[in-house]
Amino acid sequence: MFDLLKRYRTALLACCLAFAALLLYSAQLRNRQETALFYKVILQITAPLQNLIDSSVESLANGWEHYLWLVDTEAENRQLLEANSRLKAELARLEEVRLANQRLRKLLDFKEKVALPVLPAQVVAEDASSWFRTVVIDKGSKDGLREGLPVVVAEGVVGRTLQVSPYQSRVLLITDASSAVAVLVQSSRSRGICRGEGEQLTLDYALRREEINPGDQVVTSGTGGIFPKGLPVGRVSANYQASYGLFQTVKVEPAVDFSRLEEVLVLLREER
Amino acid sequence: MKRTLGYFLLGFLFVLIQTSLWPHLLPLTTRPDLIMVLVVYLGLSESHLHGGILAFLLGACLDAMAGSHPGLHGVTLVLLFYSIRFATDHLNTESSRLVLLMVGVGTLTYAGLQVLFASFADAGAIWLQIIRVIVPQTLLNMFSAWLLLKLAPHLLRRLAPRSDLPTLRRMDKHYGA
Repeated sequence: MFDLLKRYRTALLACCLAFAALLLYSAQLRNRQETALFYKVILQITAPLQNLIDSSVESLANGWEHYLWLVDTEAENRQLLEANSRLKAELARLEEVRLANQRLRKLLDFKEKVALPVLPAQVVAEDASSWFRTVVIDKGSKDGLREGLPVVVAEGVVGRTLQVSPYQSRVLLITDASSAVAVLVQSSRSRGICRGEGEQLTLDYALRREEINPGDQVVTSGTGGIFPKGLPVGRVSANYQASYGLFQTVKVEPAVDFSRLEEVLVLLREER
Repeated sequence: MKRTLGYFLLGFLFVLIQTSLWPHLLPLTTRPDLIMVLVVYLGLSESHLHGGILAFLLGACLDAMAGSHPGLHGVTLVLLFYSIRFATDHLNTESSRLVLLMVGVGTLTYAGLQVLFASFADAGAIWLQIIRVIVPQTLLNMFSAWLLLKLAPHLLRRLAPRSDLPTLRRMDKHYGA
């Protein structure tokens, strides 16, 4: 008997194991809803190890992605930053072009309205002193300029050429204290002289009996010998009528924003 | 002669700064008057002849770039120079605070001279414009003078180590490193 068992030991062991497995399987099929103790133990034992491995791999992957892989990311970041600043610069340039285009279009529209030949010029410098109001433009006698020519923008009168060199000219702004422009108030047709006061203008010799109201448009009268008639100078910002005297005090807000002066037009009148 | 030329070139640089750089850097209507500060410094350090000629040349430069009355800055800067020059004969020029005080007094004197001489021309209400800005102008000029005196010794040592500016050397003790 023992000899027989010994002879078929391996086959018998295999059959027993298979049978045991089959029994276990059969038992598991019956109790499918419950987890066997064995599985629970195995799960319990493997859980911390799995967690450890998982977190280690994750840390490694994290390290790889965020530090070692950053060699490329850093380069990519630099490229993106460069592209970003290039695009920003391009955007700023295009915005500048758009604004210049807008200003030049306005000047062009204005040029078509004015009957005189005009010369566009660029403001390149301002007065060296805080007490005077002049600007330097990039056109001079070589371009046909001479002293006393009116300088305008689409919004209105800027000033007149004061000193002219071959390639540059200085323009006396109407806001300078020594500037005087013959004007009339558009609604009431009152005449006067607009003098500069630094930031704004004052209308001298406006008769007290004339009706002038804040908001009235002030234009060149064409009688001063420099500016053609009808160019906007500014709007009345305030007026005071004393109970006596011949004239009233009138303050005028210039039509042109002199702090943003960039392109101007010089009206080329014929020499008298 | 070399020093005179140096001062003139510096003045010319200041004119360029005032006309081209300030409008971009300082969005204010009142800006530091570096030429006036330079003339005050000349009044403290230069002889009657050299300083007077320099003040006139700097004024002429300024006349080409400022105002509408050619010659106004020339005459006012020469008079300012001599006012400072004669005043310093009675003052201790080694005092570092004197420069700042002189720049303050110089600004007021310069403004007064401009109003006086502009009134000979048809300058309109220039006095009104000057009165409006005289206080910030004086403070700005004094601040620029302080800044220039602080920077000048360093710049001079770097750019022209062998230059001889005795007044600045004296003040170096107070302003320079």
